[in-house]
Amino acid sequence: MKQLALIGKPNSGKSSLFNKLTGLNQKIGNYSGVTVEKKSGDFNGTKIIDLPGLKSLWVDSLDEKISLQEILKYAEEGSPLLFVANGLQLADSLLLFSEIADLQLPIILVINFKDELKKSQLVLDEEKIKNHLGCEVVLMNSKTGEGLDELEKLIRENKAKVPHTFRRSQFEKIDENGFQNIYLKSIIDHQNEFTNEQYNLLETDFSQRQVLVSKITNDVLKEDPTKVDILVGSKRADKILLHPIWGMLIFIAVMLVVFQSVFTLSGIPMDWIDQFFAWASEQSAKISIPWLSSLMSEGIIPGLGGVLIFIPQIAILFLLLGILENSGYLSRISYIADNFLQKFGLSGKSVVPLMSSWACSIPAIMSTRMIEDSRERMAVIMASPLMTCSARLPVYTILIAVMYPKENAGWIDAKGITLFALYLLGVIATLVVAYIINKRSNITSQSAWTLELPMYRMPNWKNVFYNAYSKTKSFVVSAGKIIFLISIVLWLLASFSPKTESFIDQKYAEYQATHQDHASEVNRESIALEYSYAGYLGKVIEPVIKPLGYDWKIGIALITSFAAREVFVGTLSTIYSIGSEDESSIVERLRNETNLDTGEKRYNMATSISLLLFYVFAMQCMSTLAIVRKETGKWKYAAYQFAFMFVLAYGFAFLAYQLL
Amino acid sequence: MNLKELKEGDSAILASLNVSDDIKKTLLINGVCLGSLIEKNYSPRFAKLCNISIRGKMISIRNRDAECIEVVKYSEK
Repeated sequence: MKQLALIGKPNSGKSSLFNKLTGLNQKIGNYSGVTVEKKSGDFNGTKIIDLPGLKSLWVDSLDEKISLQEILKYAEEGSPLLFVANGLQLADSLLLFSEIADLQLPIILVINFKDELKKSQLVLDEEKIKNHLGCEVVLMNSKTGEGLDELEKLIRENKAKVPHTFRRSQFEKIDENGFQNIYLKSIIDHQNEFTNEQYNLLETDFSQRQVLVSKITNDVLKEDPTKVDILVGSKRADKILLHPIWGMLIFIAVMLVVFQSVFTLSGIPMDWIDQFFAWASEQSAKISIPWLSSLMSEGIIPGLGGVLIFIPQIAILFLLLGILENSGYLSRISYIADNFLQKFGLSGKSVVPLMSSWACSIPAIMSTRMIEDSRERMAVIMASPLMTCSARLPVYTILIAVMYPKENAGWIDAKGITLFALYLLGVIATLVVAYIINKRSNITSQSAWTLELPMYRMPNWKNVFYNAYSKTKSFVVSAGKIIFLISIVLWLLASFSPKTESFIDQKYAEYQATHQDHASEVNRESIALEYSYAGYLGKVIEPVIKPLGYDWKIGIALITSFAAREVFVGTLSTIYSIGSEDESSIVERLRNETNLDTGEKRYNMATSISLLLFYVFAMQCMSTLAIVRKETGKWKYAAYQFAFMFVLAYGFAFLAYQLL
Repeated sequence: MNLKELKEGDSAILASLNVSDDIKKTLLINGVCLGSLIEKNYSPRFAKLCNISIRGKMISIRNRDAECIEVVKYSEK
């Protein structure tokens, strides 16, 4: 076989099997015209493709559409599929199998969770099921690899067979247009529109399939499957975990542990990354070609470092979310939050993307693919960048430190309360914006909603670690490319000037002569920056940002931090000519900065709060805009998002500065 | 009787889905189809969701949809 696609219902153990077959040597790629990742890997010369889980061929979500398109392509080519069924939910898996069998393409059926079938005293007659379905069947445990040898042999010997049909004959007809299969045609047409006729067809079809599948499972399972309750443990656990009091307390405790871990566990690796980029920048400053040395040490390396420093936080968040997801608890969080989120036009399915936004909006927006309702998905994509992402933290930390000169009075103080208030404001803003978008959107909403509560299971650690790695890698690749380009553009703007070197020397000399008290605090680089293209840009926008309490220096930082919010801190450090890497010196310098117009402190309470509010609302993240474009398919949504977030940021910052 | 009216631990056969077309489609592709045997699970009131087991999996349905699903209580005897 040249290639083999893995297909099955969600939670059927497909990923474990894929990892076993390919030995974790997958590559993740975005395929042309699609926005969803398909994983592929090599197994003894056969390309194995892992497709997103599918509930039915009558697809609902974006993920499922990709799987369907692949299956239809396979059906056309007659290429083989590896169908993975959950042994504990055999009847449910066979419903999907029956739909795919009617497309008449070669299949090998893997019945997974052999160990759990045994534990539940469900004995499966392999010969009988082979006869019923008409294709090769392997009973295996994808976690341990039990049954893998047999599967390997079937793949090697090209044993995929076209199975018996279930209801295909019901949909075949010959009319004036010749032979037609209405079922296949309906599925293909359904991708665009769903008619009343198709709803009726679907209801009858599913009832009939269910009867056929029940007959098979009753025959092949030696125990009556309806008498074996495999869910008894999960049902007991749900009585505690979904309880209005205990469930809520456990939920709050889990959330606290997750977010505390994200911040505490990431501290040391973030320091390592920071040190590495500082070292790399230092080394690149030694390059003998001056422009290249400057581009590397002042442009590309700090630019990439500013984003890649968040890898530990993102990886840890993905790891913890992966554990929650694998154990089955993440669906319970969606369950608990559903009723509350409905008030804002969202559902429990928005919880995961919104929670992921606390780390970074990019993976959060990517994870909205699992939301079937297009309007809800759009609302989450548009609103989730308002959640406090980790890139806002350096900005908040610096500005809060400037606002409150006194050290901590205890374990809770004004600094902590302000930070908490900013996080809370982010959540409120997200929900309000989601509500407004839901109300005003002309995208058709799907009122239908169901949530599957998977069985509680011990996480498959290999999968959890691999997925965290794979998602982090995806973040690094997508964000890295954009940051790389932006860093070059910003470096060009900040390094070149429409003025001559002698003009800058003259301005520097003039400054030293007129500001003798502060002359030592300003170096030639800051004067060069003032007269660079970036400096002119800062001055061009100064009249616009003056009502917010900002000067041209803050203006430059606002422009440069459009690439990524955390760049704000680095830019201010350069502008204020601070050579030291010590954070307290940056804070001290900002505290002492004077507003030349008023003679008062530049970073007083009003300006600091205005800046904080600006960063709560503003879309200062180029990478997020690129992902929004990618996920929505249109630049207009990214532009709209940038515009409304800017209006909110400007409006709140203006009110804060003018009223305080 | 409707699905919401079932008590925790009760089993029933799905008799009719008197819901809108898009809800019907979502239920069907999740395997909630006529003639299926279901069991009502613990469903806390605050969540306004109805939890059922069907073919070895657990599904939550909004109460307002569960009220439109007719069931016939099932007894093994």
